Amino acid sequence: MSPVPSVTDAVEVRLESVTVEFGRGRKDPLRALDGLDLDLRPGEVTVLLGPNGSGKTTTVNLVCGLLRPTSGRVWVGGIEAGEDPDGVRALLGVTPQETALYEDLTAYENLIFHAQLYRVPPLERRQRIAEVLELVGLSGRQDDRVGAYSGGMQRRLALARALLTHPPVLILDEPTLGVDVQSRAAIWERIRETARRGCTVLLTTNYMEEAAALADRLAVLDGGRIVAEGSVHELQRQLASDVIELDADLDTAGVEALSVLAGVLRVEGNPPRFRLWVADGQSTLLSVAELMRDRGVNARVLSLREPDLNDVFLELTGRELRD
Amino acid sequence: MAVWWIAVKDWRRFIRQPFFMAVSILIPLAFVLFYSLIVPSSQTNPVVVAVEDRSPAASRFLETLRKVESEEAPWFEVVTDDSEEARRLFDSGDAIGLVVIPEGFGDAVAQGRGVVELHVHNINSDYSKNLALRVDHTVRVFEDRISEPVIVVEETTRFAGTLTMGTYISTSILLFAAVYAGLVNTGLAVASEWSDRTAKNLLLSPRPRAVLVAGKVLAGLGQSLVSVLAVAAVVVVVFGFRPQGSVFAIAGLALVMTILGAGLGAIIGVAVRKTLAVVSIGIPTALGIYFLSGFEDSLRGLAWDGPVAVLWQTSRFLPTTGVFSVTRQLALGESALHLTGELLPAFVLIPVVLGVAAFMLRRAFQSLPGGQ
Repeated sequence: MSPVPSVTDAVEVRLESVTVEFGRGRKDPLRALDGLDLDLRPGEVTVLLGPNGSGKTTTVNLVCGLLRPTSGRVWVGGIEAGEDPDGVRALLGVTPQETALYEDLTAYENLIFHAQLYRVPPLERRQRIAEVLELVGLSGRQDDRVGAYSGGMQRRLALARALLTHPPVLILDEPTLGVDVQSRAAIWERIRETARRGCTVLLTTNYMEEAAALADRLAVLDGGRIVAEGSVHELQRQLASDVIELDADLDTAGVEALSVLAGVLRVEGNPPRFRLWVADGQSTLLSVAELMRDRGVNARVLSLREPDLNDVFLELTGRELRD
Repeated sequence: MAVWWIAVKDWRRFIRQPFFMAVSILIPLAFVLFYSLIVPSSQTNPVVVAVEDRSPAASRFLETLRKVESEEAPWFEVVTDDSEEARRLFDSGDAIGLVVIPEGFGDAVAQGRGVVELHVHNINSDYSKNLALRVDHTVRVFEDRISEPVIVVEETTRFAGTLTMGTYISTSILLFAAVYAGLVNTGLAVASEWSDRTAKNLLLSPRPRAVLVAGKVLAGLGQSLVSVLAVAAVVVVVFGFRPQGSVFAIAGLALVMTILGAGLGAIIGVAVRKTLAVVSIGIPTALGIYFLSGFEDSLRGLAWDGPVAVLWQTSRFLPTTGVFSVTRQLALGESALHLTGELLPAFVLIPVVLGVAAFMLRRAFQSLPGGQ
């Protein structure tokens, strides 16, 4: 496979106190973003996590100059996105959520059109296309129409298209939505490599596993605000708690006894599986074991772990269903 | 150059989508087919003639019947003049009109009381009326040969010469094809970017929005050129359309109508953003222009009262009506120069339509609502 080309100029992206309101003329305008501050740094993958409607795609559209903020500013490499959107777009490689590939054109035709739009020098076009197709493992399929591609192949092609222009900023809106494990692994590897070579990467996803695998920094969005920001480990530590997993046939009184144990913050789940949020994992684990023994209940599972990203996400954004 | 690349991309997609091609070309061709059936049947009426008199007057009447003609074709096709065969064909229903030159016709003519009979199977009132009027006219022509004309007709035509039905229909269909192709092709080129969820690819490009707009219009015009040329070739073959005036001026007016159609198509495409809706709205829009502007003269002849009068008044004020009228005059060999006044409303309308289309497209290519 070809290496991802190096980025010549490091470009930082900054969103300063950005608010976006839709339907401002209406009685109750929708505030999609509410005073958002975010820095995207070269060489880092910043992952935006958030439930549906939290403002992830709105943030992406802002950075791409497809939206103007109601207030606040968006800077891409020192260019204000609202003032020179074409200048900003020239710095970006984007894979939109819907891929935006022309299904009745071949992969090569899609890429050559992209190269023409982005002013890739004519003499370099063929070589670059060959490179990015090899990069995503589609060299042998360049003359096939994209409509005949699987979902995973289309996602990989969309990534190839974004990399074709050697952009200093790569924006990936749910880049592995609906793809198989193999394609996902290939896409992740390319994203990591791209960031290692100095590219500023912004990625939105709903997959915690993807966020944990790729994020140098995570920003959790909810209701148009960043509710937590940091590395995966930092966010996990923010909860200041451990999780005890318990699988046991406890009656109601037993569950009640669990919830009032010293160090237990809260009990989640339904019999026979429970999740206990605890302040001090080690000592509370012993207390739970003693409680089981006293009540004559055998625990099939009793384990202690740090909260994972899924726990963090649900803790931060709640369990309420979103549309 | 980006304008060109966008158009090339759309043309490539166009030829790979049989639905788009069919919609673009088949509808105007269906009109050609329809009129190719209607026009000849309204030009020449087949009749059978039962000649039951052997006098020179009967022969002269039969000869007159064969010779009366309009600018484009004879009025009658005499299928047979054998009395027995003529009656048999009429009785069996194979012939719709039977003209009988009765025995003693020659003597009666000499006495100033000659009579011929017309028998008609009344398939519809218009056809029956046509036959009656044509036989009546034949009688008058026959009488004029043997005595002084009893009626003097003076025709003042609107155009330099008599406009044949073929030329009249050909110009209408040609301009319909132009406006329809421009409208549907550009509308589809615009709407398909949203229907196929590819608009973001263009929106994200670092090209000025005006370039995207121009690319789309060029794509629509290029596709339309194929449709219009196909229709032009067919009207030349089917209707024998041979313009006597400047072909370039007529082509220029077809281009004007295509550009107008492209502007309307862009507006519809960006407003509805669905290909099927573009076709559904585009067809009646183009047909409306065709029937109102393309048949203004026909409407005028019927516009005594009621809805037709309203339609005629509407057609008079449509800027496109002048384009149809001027094209017909050009087809008859008139100079384009003194006709420009009639084109003025269209020349004012087109920049307005294109301006609105460009504004709407620019706005659509500028930004997206949240969550998209």
